[in-house]
Amino acid sequence: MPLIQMNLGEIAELGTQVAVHGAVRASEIGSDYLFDLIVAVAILIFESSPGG
Amino acid sequence: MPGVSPAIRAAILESRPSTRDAILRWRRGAEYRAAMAAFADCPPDDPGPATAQAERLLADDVWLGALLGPMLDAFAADPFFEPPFKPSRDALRTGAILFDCPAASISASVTSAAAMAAMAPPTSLIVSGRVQVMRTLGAGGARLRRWRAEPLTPGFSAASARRCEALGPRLLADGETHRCDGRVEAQLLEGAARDVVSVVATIRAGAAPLMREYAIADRRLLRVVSADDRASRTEMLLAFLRLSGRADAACQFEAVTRDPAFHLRWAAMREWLALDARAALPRLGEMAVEDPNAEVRAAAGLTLAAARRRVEEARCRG
Repeated sequence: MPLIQMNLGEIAELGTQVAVHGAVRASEIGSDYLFDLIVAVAILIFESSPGG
Repeated sequence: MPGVSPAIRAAILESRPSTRDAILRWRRGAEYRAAMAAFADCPPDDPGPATAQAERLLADDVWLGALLGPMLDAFAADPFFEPPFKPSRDALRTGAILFDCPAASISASVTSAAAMAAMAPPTSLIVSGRVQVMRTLGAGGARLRRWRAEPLTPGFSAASARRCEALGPRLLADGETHRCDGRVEAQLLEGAARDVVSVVATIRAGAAPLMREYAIADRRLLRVVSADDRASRTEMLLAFLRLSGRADAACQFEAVTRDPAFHLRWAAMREWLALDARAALPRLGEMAVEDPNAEVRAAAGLTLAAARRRVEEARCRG
């Protein structure tokens, strides 16, 4: 049975938008954390499909 | 940018074994183990015990000196020694994380009085969501401006958020230890005549899921940010599952729609609907009725009709 996929534009968003962790600096939390987060996911994607 | 000379490169490589040995000795030392033991049994959902342990540790001059002593000695003996401290630096502060465990982290920082005097005053403040214990080693004549915000509740909404409230300033004193409950309080340094040196324990236990940024001028809420790297990582990974077409991961999407963080619950449902609306539809119906957050219920209710229509159209096409 084929998947039924909705466009993200059809799906309501919350009134309260929540930015990603590290988007503001507070104490030792800052853009380094955001960078680490993105790199970790990028590594996972690369490891999942190294040739892709 | 000039390259590293062969002599410097050789010196860096030569210092690695002694750096590794010094760090191992330090981690096996009594002071590091005392911090590990202090936080070992602290519950993950209650900041009280970890806060009490942090206050006890930071008030202990002997412990703090002995913790840093071996690292300073190693530096003095070898300029290429690399301490195991994650550094952080911005226009105002230079700091490093001295200790890190699941319950808390301890960092040291120097805030530049000259940079503070040269910079435009801050226009916003952050309610970080975490309790902090601050030991002021050098007050530098600075003050803390302070604010109080409403507690975060499961029904939090940016649209109905109240303004934060300004509290009286607090003059810092050399050697004092004080607590800032970042779940409802914020503070900013100002007016330093000399550099401010501090050690801060940040308590992860019982942290609020969101950080809130308020404008100083009118104390209105400006922005909401996830205080939890796990939540942000989960959002990214669910998007990755969707883009990878992993409809077999339905149980992962379903589990995250029950997360304590309201924004993560809805993010998971959005990704699931965009991947496999038929599988997501029953849970969407539940969220429209029983999710504890009104915005999530409203978003689920708004989306429900469109999702049902898409599933019905597919069934008719057959």
